[in-house]
Order: sequence, then structure tokens, then C-alpha cells
Amino acid sequence: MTAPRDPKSGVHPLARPLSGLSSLRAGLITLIVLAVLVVAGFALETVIHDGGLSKYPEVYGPYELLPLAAAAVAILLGWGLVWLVSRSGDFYARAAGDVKEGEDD
Amino acid sequence: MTVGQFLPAALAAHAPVLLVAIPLILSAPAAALKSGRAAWAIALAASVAAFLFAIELFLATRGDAPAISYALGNWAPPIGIEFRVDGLNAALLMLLSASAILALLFALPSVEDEIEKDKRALFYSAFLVVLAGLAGVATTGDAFNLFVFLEISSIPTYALIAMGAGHDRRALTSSFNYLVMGTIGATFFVIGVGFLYMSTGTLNMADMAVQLVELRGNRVVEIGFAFILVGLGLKAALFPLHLWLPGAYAYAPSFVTVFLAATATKVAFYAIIRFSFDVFSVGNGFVLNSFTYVITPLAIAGMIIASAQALFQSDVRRLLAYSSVAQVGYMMLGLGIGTQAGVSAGVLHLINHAMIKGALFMALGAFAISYGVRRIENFKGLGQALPVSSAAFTVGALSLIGVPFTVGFVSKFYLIQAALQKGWAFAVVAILISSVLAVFYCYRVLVNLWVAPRPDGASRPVQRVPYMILAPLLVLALMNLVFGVNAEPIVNMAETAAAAAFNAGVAP
Amino acid sequence: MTDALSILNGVSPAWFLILAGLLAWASPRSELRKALMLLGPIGALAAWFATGETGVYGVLDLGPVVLETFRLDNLSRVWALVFILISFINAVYALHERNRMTDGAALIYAGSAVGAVFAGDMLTLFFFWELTALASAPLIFSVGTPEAQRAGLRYLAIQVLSGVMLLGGAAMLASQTGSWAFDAIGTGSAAGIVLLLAFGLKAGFPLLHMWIPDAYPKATGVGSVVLSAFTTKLAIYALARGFAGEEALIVIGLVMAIFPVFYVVTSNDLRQTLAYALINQLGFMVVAVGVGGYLAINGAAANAFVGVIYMALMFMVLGAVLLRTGTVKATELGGLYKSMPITTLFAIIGALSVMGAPLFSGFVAKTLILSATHYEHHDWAYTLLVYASAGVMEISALKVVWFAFFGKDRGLRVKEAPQTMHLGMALAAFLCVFLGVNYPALYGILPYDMDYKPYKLASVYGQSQLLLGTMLVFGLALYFKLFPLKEDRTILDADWLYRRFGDASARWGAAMGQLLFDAIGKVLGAFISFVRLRLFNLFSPAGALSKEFPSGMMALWTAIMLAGVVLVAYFSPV
Repeated sequence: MTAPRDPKSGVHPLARPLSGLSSLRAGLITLIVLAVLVVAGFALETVIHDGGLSKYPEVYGPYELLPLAAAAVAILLGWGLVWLVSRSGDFYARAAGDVKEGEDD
Repeated sequence: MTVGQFLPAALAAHAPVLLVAIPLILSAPAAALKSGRAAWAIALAASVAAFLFAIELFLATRGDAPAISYALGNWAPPIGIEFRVDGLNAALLMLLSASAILALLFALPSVEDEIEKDKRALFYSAFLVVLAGLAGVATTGDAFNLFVFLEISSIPTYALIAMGAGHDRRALTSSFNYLVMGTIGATFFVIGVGFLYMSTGTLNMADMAVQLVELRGNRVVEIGFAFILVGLGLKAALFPLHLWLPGAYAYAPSFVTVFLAATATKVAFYAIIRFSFDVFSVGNGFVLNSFTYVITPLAIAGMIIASAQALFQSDVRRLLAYSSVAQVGYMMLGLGIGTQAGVSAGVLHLINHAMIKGALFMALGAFAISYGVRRIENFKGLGQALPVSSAAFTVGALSLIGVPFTVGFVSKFYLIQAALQKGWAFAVVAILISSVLAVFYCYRVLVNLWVAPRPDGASRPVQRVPYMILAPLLVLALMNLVFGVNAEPIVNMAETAAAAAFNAGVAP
Repeated sequence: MTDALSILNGVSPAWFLILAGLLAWASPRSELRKALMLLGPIGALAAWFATGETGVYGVLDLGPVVLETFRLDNLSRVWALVFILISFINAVYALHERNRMTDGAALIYAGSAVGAVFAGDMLTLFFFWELTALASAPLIFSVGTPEAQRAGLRYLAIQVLSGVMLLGGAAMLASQTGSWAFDAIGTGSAAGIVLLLAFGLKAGFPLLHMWIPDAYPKATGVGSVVLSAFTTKLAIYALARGFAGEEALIVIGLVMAIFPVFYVVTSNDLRQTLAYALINQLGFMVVAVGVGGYLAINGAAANAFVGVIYMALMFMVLGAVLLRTGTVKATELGGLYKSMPITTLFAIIGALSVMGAPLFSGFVAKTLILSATHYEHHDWAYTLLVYASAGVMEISALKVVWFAFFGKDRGLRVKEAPQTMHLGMALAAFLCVFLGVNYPALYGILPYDMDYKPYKLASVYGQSQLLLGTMLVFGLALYFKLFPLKEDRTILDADWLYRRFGDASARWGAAMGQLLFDAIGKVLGAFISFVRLRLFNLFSPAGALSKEFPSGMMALWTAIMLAGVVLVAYFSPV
């Protein structure tokens, strides 16, 4: 998340006030805000489990945490997939004879 | 005798024989002429006459009308030679003479492009003999006479194919091949007829049928049937007896290919139906078993293997020739099903295939004349250069695939229904596989025709397609569409034909 | 108003679109084409409104079969409406483009999709089914590169195959039941299985899905918008019509909803990411069809309706990016919000709809399916769908927005997208928000009446938790550089089977077949020349067996066949 090479030129007028968004700090702040919201949300649900927040009487508590863990695992498993079945970007193009230069796969 | 439908009664009474005799007799003056155009005019006149007689016969055999029997030279049938016309061969005669007219219209510019000047008159003369022979096969009710007409049609066919040598020397070997194989086929057929004559003592087909009822379980009759089936199967290009066909279609002059593709194998197919159902009878165990265990597997093998072979051809005419072999497989499958619905579907496909392949080969002829190309890769961008002919080709190709609202769909539809009635799901699967293959091989051509851009260094300038070619081509393409939407007339024709085939035989 | 429209009563809206498309193909002036592209959908919409009464119109009696070309009922009208709407939005979006081929093709494609939805019998369905295939292929072909040519051919082959299977299955069904009607089919017969596969091929069933991520990324920028809208949703309609309540579909749908997650994470081409996200959304709908029942079918219809719109919006956004930058690869994009802020806004609206954020259309539709699975006690399906919506739906939307518009700034300073594109995107974005806030408008057109409140505190709360949590996970993965997308890689999918393995096998098979044929020819040749030399010189002179000269071979076949017939005849009963 480096700073733009040429910060002003070509930036759309509507986007000028938002140019700080691409900084690393903005990202970090966003992450912290998100984390606080998520933790607060789950905490609230754990505390109040009979006030209409919990969906089904038999299931209460922060069960939405599990899909989050699953999402994280899925993202990490992506590395496995890349390792297993990824080929160079022009794999099919090369196979079809559209790319002719040296081999690097 | 017939009641005149629209021709004068005196002519109508002799329609069966005049249909054959007029082209045969007119071939002599055509050969004697110097001018190709005059010979062409004679050929066209003879074909139109044949067409008129065919319509007359066709109308006279509608509905429940009995078969027309014509005793040649007033020698009464079983002894004398009989011409016999019913709903089955009347439909074939219509197809034959109509194809002849359309092909002849196409012939004038095409022959001038492909055949040397001093041979053109002879060319048309030979064509008339072929036409007479094919019409004779279709009309005669005498087994030996059928052999004679088969040879009358075949021998000038060899000559016509060999005339493609001006363009491609391989026409000579193809023609020689066809000669050898055609002779084998005819020999087999005449041996079979010999066996039948030996055991029944008659050559008249109707009489033979009556005698054969007495001879159930006779091994000689069975051998005779085997020889006839194989001999005619070869003429009809039943897989794997089709080896003569790709070469003959690919190297013959365009006009010959158009005409042969529309008619020649069809007539042999007709002869198989005539012998199997009317002389022999599907009631006989060996006929039905031959259909089920020999014809059907070969038909299915042909549908799939020939389509696969078509996929790998680079010459479009060879591609279409292999596709023709596959289409013969469809017809044979209809026959192999052995029910009236099956035969009806087979005949329907026979009629439709004549329209489909006629249009396709004619479009190829148009490309060859105006652009001089035959290989698939040379078709690139032709769609823009010759839009009308390309559109007609596309219609033909879609019909070949069996896209709805084309005739190809109609016959496949009826064929599938016939197979399902019989409970043959495997046949439906084979039809679908073959159709998918057809999608692929047609697609190869169509993509080059329409999608691929024209190469920059296109060598030969494109000439306008002559109207004499465009007119019959468009007629055929339109027929593909019109009968695809309103299939009633051709379906009726096929059903009458199948009914005639089933009813003419003698119940065992 | 109604009087003026009443002349259109009973006229299928499909014809307006198809007619406009044909005219557009014929017209050389692009202004005329653009007018047709706008007028066609308007005419179709008028016809849709004019025919208020459900019923069967446009009946063609062809003797043996009766074609019902316009069957308007509560199910078909939903799909038809969204197809017409999206073809109008696409027309606005594509106003800047000058391409005769795609202009006409998009209209005919839309028209044939509408026609297929209104088909009351299998033959009409087949006709329009194949027409969608043929009309959509130019959207890929017109890119013009050899790669697009081949992708278009693969796409077309699969689509046509689906149509052939549809016809085959319909013929089998008709031979059993004697009717060509297109109603509930069920998997009880072989015909039902064939039809399920025919529909499944277009709906992207697992292992039949590969054409979606193969073809969609290779279409033109405008083309992928319409491609994403019609074919697959049409297949969902066909499934809902023919196979509602088929339990096997639940499992199939769950697999479709889950497995794309890995490809969504790793694919570099953002349009391919969206294609995989589309499979995931189709999975939700397939599950809903499998559950059956009023609520689930309503859920499938609602998801199809809003899904068409928000996926079209996402593809429009990427189409605009493609137009301005020339690429949609994640590794070549980034920081575009600085030069394309308006497009970014639309992308965010689309992404929020995809993710199912409350107040957006995705939420009100998806919650129907979740509730249906819960009420029908498909607990596993419910749980897995919740996981899938966290993993696949949300990551795909986040990924597209992040990598294209935020992320690493690659210094791309391009012009903002054309105004007309903005207008098209704005229409779609408006619908995304409108249907989410004003959900009775959406629920009102669904097939069955229902009394359902999507905005219950618990659902909103749970969904928000899921949303924020997934954002956090996604953000953390990016922050710690754990997101598995570093360089331009091709991730193999099932299409490898025919693009490489099948291709190589075919080549190998052809070579081997040639060798085999040659060998057989040699062996037979030796045999025949032996026979010929020893017995009599019956057949042709020398060289009879060379390739151009197969008479000897043929004579052998003749003898074999004769032997075959004689044998069969010999063993036949008298």
C-alpha cells in the first residue's frame, strides 16, 4: 500500500478528498474499527441471548464466529490450491499456440 | 391402367414406360450433337418430360389406388416384363426427376467451367442414360430387368465421374474403384437373382413373392436374399461397403456429385426396400433377423464412424461425402427398425437428404466456380464475399445437423419416434451422438465461412455466382426450410410409400 | 393507458426483443441500432404489462404437436420481467459501443431467453434454448482474438449440447407420456435424468460448470453483462418448473455453493472471480429449488430476480474498468477509486447487494432461501449456506472491489467511465437499493403470495455480524499478506479436462487411430494379396489396397458381410 507515484495528476475531482484512503494507516484504522465492532457485536449477543437478538431458542451465542473461522481457513487453503493446480498465466494460450517465446513454466 | 390425372389419357396410359424411354432415346441425339448447349436443352427437355410423367404417376397412386401395372409390349406379366408403380416408387420417381431438373439448371454454368468443350454433348448424353437407368430401376417389376437397369445407370456413371479428371486426376482412380466395386455389387445382385430364379422359376417380382411363400425354410432362397442384400447394400453405400463413395463424390464434376448425392444411393435403397418387403417379406424370420442383427449394427456404426471420419476431412466435398455415408446409416436404421414407422422415417430421410445434400453440394459448386476453393481453410471469409450462396450452404448445414424448422429435424424426429416405438433407446443415443458429431463437422465449415476473417492476401478475385446456379440453389435451400416448417406433404409422401411397401408384399 | 396497451394482450414480449434484434443486425447506422435496443425492451415491457391475465397465448397448432409460445403464469412472469429489465439497462449501458454484431445479438439473446421462459411445451423450449446459445455466441466471438474464438467455440459446443440433450430427453419423455408439455418432470425416469443434465449443463452443476468461468471472462465488456444475466437464470427457471422439490438438487446446490470459494480466492481475472461467485449464487437457487415449497420457490425466484441485477451491475463495473484500463486482472489493477470514483460507488453498491447487506436487494432475497431451508428442517443445508454466504459471496464481492478500486495503487490514472455507462450502472444500482429497502415491491411479484418480514432484528443482527466479521477476516488476510494472490496464475478447473487432457487425448487418439488403421490395412492387405496370389486374380490389378484404391478391402468387406447375412439367415427361425 505505497503512496501513489504522482499523487495529484489524473485524480478525479470527486476522489480528491478521499486520497488518504489508500494509506496504510487508513487501512489499519479500518481494521481496528471492524475488530471493535465485531467483538462488541459478539459480546452483546453473548450477554443478551433472550431479547430477540438470538434467532432460534435452541441456538444462542456467537455461532456466527464459526463461518468466520471457515472463511479464514478457506482463504488460507487457497495457497494449497495455488500450489497444487496453478500454472503460468498464459498456460492455455501457450497450449493453443498463441504464445511462442521461450519456456518458463 | 391409369386414369389420366392431368396428362392426356393416351400419354398417361404409357407413363411408366415413357418415363424411362424418353431419356434413353433422347440420349442418342444428344450424343450426336456438337453443341453442348443443345445437348443440355435436350437433356432438360427429357428431364422435364420425365418429371411430368412422374407427377402423373404420383397422382395416380395416391390414396388407396392400386399399383399401376404396365405390361411391356403387351406380353402379360409373369412371362413378359412388367413395369409396376405404387406409392413407394412414385415418390422416388418424383424425387429423381425433380433432382434431375434442378441439377441440370445448375449444370449449364458448372459444366462449362469444368468439362472440355468437345465432351459436353457426350456428357449430357451419358447423364440421360444414367437418368433412364435409375428411373428404370425404380419402375421395373422384373428382377433381372432391374439388374439390367442397374448396369445401364452404373456404366455411364463411371464415365461421368471420370470426367472430373480435368480438375483432379484422382477422379480416374476413383471412377475405376467405383467401377470395380459397383461391378462386384451388381454381380452379387445378379447371383442372388439367379438363386431366386433357380428356386422359383420366375423373374417377375410379384410372381416371385407368391412362389416364395411356398418355399419357406428353403436355404437357396436365404442365400439368394443374402446376395441381393449385400449387392444392393454396396450400391447404397451401406457402411462398410461405402469405400467407393467418398472418392467418387469428391472428384467427380460438381454437377455429377449434386445429382448422384441426391439420387444414386437412394435408388439402391429403394431396391432393398422393394426386395425385402415385397419379394421377400419381413414376416420371414431371416429377413427380420438380417435387419436387426446385420443392417442395424452396420447402420449405427456408419452413422457414428462415418461422421467421425467426416470430422477429420479437410476437403469439404470429402467431408460431405462421409456425411452422406452417415446419412445412409440413418435411412438404413429406419429400415433396420423394420416397422412401418421405421420404413416411413427411412423414406422421409431419403427425400430430405436429397434436398439437404443437393443444396450443400450445389453451394460447393457455386464456391468452386466463383472462388475456386474446396478446402475448409480456404473458406475463410467467404460469407462476406458470397453471402447468398453461403446462406444457402448454412441452411443446408443446419438441416444436416437437424436444427428445428429444417427438414433434417423432421426426419430425425420421425426416426427417433420410430426407434422409441420399437423400444430401441440405443438407436436414439446413436442418433444423438451422430447429430453432435454433425454439429462439430458443420461447425468447422461454418466458422470458417462466417466468423474467420478473410485472409489479406486472398489470391483469386471473386466472381459473381451465375443465376443459373443461384436459382436452383435457393429453391433447394427454401425447400429445406418450407418443408421443415410444414412437413405435412413429405411426411404424407413417405407414409404412403411405406404403406405401399408393406401392403404390396404377400402375407406369408 | 390500459386501452392503448390492450392491443398487445397475448403478444409474447419475446417477439419485440427478437424483432428489434433482427432489425438491429440489419441496420447499418448505430443511432438506429441504439434506438432499437432501447425500444425493443420498452415494447416487450408494454406487452408484459398488457397481458395481465395468466394463461396460454400464442398457440401454434402444427398437427402432431401443439406449440404454446406464450404461457404466462406466476412463475414465468418473474423471470421474463427481470430479463426485459436487464436488457433495457444493458441497452443504456452499451449506448457508447458501436458494434453491430453485439447490439443485435444481445437483443435476440434476451428475446430468446424470454421466449424460453414463456415456452409451454418442450419443443418451443428447445427452440429458444438453442437460440439463446446461438445468439449469445457472437458476444464472445466479436472480441476477435484467437483465444476468444476458441472460447466461443467451446461455449457454443456446450450450449448446443445442452439443447440436444434437452431435445433427446423431451423426446424420450414424450414417447412415455405422449405429451410434449413442459411441467413437473421429476427424476423417476431416464428421460428425467437426461433433462436434468440438460438443464444442469446450463445451470452450472458441479463438473458441468466449467464453461461459465471459461467463457464469461473472454466476452466483450458489454457482452459479459448480458451473458451473466440470461443463460444460467433461464436454467434455474427450467429447474424450478421441472424439478421443484427434488432432494438431490439440495446436495448439488450445496456443492455449487461451497466449492467456488477456492477459485474465488485464487483466480486473478476479476471477471472469472465473478463467474465463480455466480456459480455460488446459482447454488443457492438450486438448493431452493431442491427444497421446494412456496417459500423456497419464492426464494429461488427472488434470488434470480435480484441476482440478475446485481451480477449485471458487477459485470458492468468491470466492463467499465476493462474499457478504460484494458484489463481486469487483479495483479494489474488497484487504486482506481482515485480516477473512477463514481464507478467505485456503484461497485460498492453492487458488492453490498452481493454480500447481502441489510437494506440491499441481496439480503431480502437470500434470507428467503435461508428461512425456507430452516423451516423445512434441512439443517445441514442451512448451516452450509450460511458458511457459503460468508465465504464465497462476501469474499468475491470484497475481492473485486478491493483489488480493482483500492488495494495497491498501480498509478493507473484513467478517465472516468462514459456517462451512458454510469447511467446504466445507476439504474441497476437504484434497483439494488430500491428492492432492498422497498422489499414488498419484490415480494409482490413472486410466484406465491406470502407474508414474510425480512427485517427481523435477529436476522439483521446476525447478517451484520457475518458481514463485518468476513470483512475483518479479509482485511486481516490482506494486512498480513496472507491472501493467496501474488502473481498472474491460471488456476486449473474442470475445463482442463477438455482443453488440455481432452485435446491431447484427441490428438493422441487420432495418431494412434491412424497407426491402427494403417496396421489393419497392412495386415488385411497382406492377407488379401496372399489370397489373391494363391487363388485367382479376381479383383483389381496391382495396388488394389493403397489408400486411394480400396477395392480389394471392399471386396473383403463384401464377403464378410455376405457371410454375416448368410449366418444370420441360417440361424433364423423359419
